[in-house]
Amino acid sequence: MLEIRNLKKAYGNYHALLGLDMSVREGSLYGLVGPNGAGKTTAIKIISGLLSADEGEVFISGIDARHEPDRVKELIGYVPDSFGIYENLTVREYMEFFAAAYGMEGLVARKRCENLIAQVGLEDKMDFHVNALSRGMQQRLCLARALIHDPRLLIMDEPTSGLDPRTRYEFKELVSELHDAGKTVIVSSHVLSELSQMCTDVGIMENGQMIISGAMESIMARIESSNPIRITIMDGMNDAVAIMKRNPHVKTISQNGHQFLVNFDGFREDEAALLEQLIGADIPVREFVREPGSLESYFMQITDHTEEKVIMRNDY
Amino acid sequence: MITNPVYNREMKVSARSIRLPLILAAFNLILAVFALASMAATINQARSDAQINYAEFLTIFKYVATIEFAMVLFIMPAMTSGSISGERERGTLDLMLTTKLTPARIVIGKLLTNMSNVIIVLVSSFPVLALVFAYGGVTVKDFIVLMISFITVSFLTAAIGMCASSICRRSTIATAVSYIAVLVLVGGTIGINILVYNFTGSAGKWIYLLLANPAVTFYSSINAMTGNRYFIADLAAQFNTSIGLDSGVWFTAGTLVQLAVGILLVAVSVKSLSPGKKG
Repeated sequence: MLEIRNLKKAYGNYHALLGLDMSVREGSLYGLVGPNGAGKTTAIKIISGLLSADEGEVFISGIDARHEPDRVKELIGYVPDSFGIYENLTVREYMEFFAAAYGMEGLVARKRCENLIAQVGLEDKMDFHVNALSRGMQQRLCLARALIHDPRLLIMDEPTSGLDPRTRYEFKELVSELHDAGKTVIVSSHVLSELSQMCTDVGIMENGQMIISGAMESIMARIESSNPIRITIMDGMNDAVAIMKRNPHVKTISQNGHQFLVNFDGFREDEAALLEQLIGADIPVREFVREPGSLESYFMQITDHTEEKVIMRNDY
Repeated sequence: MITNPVYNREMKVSARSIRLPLILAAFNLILAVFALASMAATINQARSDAQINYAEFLTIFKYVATIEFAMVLFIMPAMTSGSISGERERGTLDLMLTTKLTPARIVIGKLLTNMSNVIIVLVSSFPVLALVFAYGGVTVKDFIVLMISFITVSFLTAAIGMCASSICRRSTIATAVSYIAVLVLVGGTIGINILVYNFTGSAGKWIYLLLANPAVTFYSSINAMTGNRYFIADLAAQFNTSIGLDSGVWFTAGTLVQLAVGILLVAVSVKSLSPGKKG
């Protein structure tokens, strides 16, 4: 659906994008993650046709965004981080304005607006002024607006920022429904727990580049395998340490009383082999478990460049 | 109905806003107070000496038209300088630019709205201007010239406001920039002639810079209407130079120059909204 190759953008001396590569599958719900200043909004604005790139290519459904911006506009619905509301218009008028902006008029426009307003649950607010709506309702209206021309790709930049938890949940449900209906959705957000629950794919950006991207399942599997193993034994500490030090997959070992935290770079079979070695040496193992991982912890880990996050205690 | 969604929306919002009625009320109140007071003074004079000086009514027309011109000059930057920057501040500019609306259609829609509003203001002032018609001296042609003059200055100052609004991120800054630009256009072009005259003893060809000055064009035409066809020649003489254009030609040339400057500024506005020109 979306292919970005070597995208570069600079504002004066500040380089917002440094050769961004990104690929979004048709029908996926793609979470775009990154710390402030990573270049997410710049990338989204270039995809949406609001900014031109200094270098690189953007293809949407095979169409070159640089050379055919008008065709690309028909494919994209854009929801910015600000709501973009005209206060003196009613909900219906707001929608009809954007319908007209896409060339829709008359009964077709009216029907389309009414359907979308109903889809986002604002049918009873049709004749309310937009500034009389709550933030959550305004955001839903903004989503309905982005769908007015039935785009194939919906791009949302921090859509839930400033919303309360309940409204965030409702908005998330709405986005999931759109994804289930076949839309390809790109969501940029800082709320990683939300993204990990709803997205099928994720990309993590930092310093204007994509540092990791792929299907959520494979990313989560990688997160799992990168977390330390917690091993608690009842006795035979020295023997256990000796076995672990001989294992080629063990990178670091931290000890706290009877508990070890082992940085283990291996697959599940390798973990099983280590457990078997410990039990085979008559070491009473009480606990052998991977620390639970999350997108947040992984994000923190790969975007934090301090020398070492794992406490290394070489007291064995 | 013009099929520009921006124009249609702006006119709808404008009709609901209290701003236009307030401008209409203030504009006509100022004009009416001045015109009626001048008229009353002239009539009282006639009562005391039993003589009616019809030239006085032309002077009233001249002053009323000048006040109207000055108000248009003052109002338009305020009306237009928030047009684009206001959209940017609300976050709606990006939304419009992701639709099929081109930067040109957005700018033209905004410009047409402001021009429509100023035409409403000008038309609303007809009864006050018509006070003078009862006593004669002003022809239909004069009136048309006056309206062309008003519309030209409206377009030029609207274009200045739109351009500032497109380039500046904040409406307050855009308004300040618009007024400075109008001041430079009206006062600066005269200032340059004064400087050149003081340094070289003659303004020379710099006098033609005044073709871009809407106040000079207006004042030249209003003087011609009230009997002085040599205003421009007299002005040039003050700068120790001469020009080979009479008031009529000066008006035509000045109007064309100002419209060209306005179109150029509109083009700059459109360009500044195009992708890649903003951060």
